[in-house]
This record gives sequence, C-alpha cells and structure tokens, in this order.
Amino acid sequence: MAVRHLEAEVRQERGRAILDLRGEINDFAQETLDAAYAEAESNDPEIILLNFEEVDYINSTGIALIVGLLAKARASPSAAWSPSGSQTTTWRSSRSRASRTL
Amino acid sequence: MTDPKPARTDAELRRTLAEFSVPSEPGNERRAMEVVADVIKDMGLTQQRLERLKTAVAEATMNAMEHGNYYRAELPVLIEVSASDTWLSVKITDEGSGPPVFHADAPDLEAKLKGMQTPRGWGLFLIKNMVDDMEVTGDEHHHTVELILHLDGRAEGST
Repeated sequence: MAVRHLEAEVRQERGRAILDLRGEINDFAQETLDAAYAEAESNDPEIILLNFEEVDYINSTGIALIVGLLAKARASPSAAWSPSGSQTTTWRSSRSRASRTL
Repeated sequence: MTDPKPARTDAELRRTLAEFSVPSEPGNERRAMEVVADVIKDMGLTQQRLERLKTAVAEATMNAMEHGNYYRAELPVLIEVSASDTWLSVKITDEGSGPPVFHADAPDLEAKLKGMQTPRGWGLFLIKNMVDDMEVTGDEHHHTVELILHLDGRAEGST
C-alpha cells in the first residue's frame, strides 16, 4: 500500500485562513504541515482552521504533529485556539473572541 | 511482505488464522492493519471494534518497526493472527532486544500544549484504549506485543 503523502492548500476567506488537508498525517507530514501553517499565519488571519475532511489516515505521529502545531499556536503572542467540530480545529487571534475550551 | 499462510488448528482450539511479515519501512503499518482486517473480516466484529483493532495493529506495528527494528527494512515485523471461540489475538513481534520501548507517561494534552511534555507519546495510549487487553513480552532477541479482543460479548460495544 503506497503512502498517500499529505497535501495542504491554504485558503484565505473573510479574515480566516483555512488549511485544507488531504491524504495521510504521518511521519512524512511535518514539512507540509509546517509550511501550510506558516503560509496561513503570514496574513495575520483572525482564525486559522484545519480542515480534516479529506484526511483518510492519521497515526500517533500525526497526532503528535497536530499537537505540536497547536502548542506552537498557543505559544504565539497573538493566538488562542479551540476545537470547533469533528473535522476542524481552530485558532483564534486576539482580535477575536478567544476560546480555550478543550 | 510475505503472504498470509493458511489457517491451522491445534489441540487447544487456538486457531492460527494468518502469519505474515512486513519489512520495517515507514508506511507498512497500514499494510499490516489492512491484512489483519481482511483476515478477520468474517468474524462478526462490529465496525467500531474492527476499526479500533486496526488502529491498535497499526500503532503496535509502527512501534515495532521504529523502536524494535529501527526502521531497518531487512528486519521484518512478524504478525500472527489467532483466535479461539472467546478471543481474538494479534501478536506483533520485532527483533529488538531489551525492554520494549514505550513512552511511560500517559499523554497529558494540557502539558503538551504548554510544552511541558513532548507532543509525542500517543502510541501506547491508543493501543491500550483500542483493545480489551494488551500483553508485552520480550527476550534478548524479540519483543512481542499481543493485542486481545474478547469475543464472548463482555466487551462488545464497550468503549
């Protein structure tokens, strides 16, 4: 079974950055995830959404990558984050109403 | 990957459903879990139980490839699927020595988000929570993780 490497596209939409993720989030995904997050963050969006709708596999390493990304976002001086539904994860900047509910 | 061997039955009613191996290469945990899923597809597990077992098989195989065999492709991870009337077992064996390597700490999401704990360390947590029982054994030449599902209804539908 061939590994389906992660692909990520960043959409900017009314102050939001949406990361559309496709494929597998595993050992190979870090570079793609980091690059997509950096691109999303560069426009200072109010919210960053991770869209997992087309992710067909995530393993424990992938969970660790997502948690690492969330930790990085939380450490950012202008950001908080909250999960927002079964297939997305959200960061909110200090410009919006922040939520830290897990 | 070697082909699954045909089933056999021993005197203790432990039926070996398949034995196969995968090279220790990233991504092969998915091959392992799909083969196991195919082998047990007619055992009547609920979809949820099947998906949980697949996750546990993938995580245990990945752990074996990474920490037991150091992702050396020439070192196989051996997988044996067996069952009796009351349980289903998947044994995953690598060629590592010494104590099996698992992150000892239970994952604490808040600590991880604060950078006080590594983001990693989810594998054992996933495995333990996806099957009814897990046993880890080892000697100078091998580690084996055995994943067990009870088939007598006690755990069916449980979390």
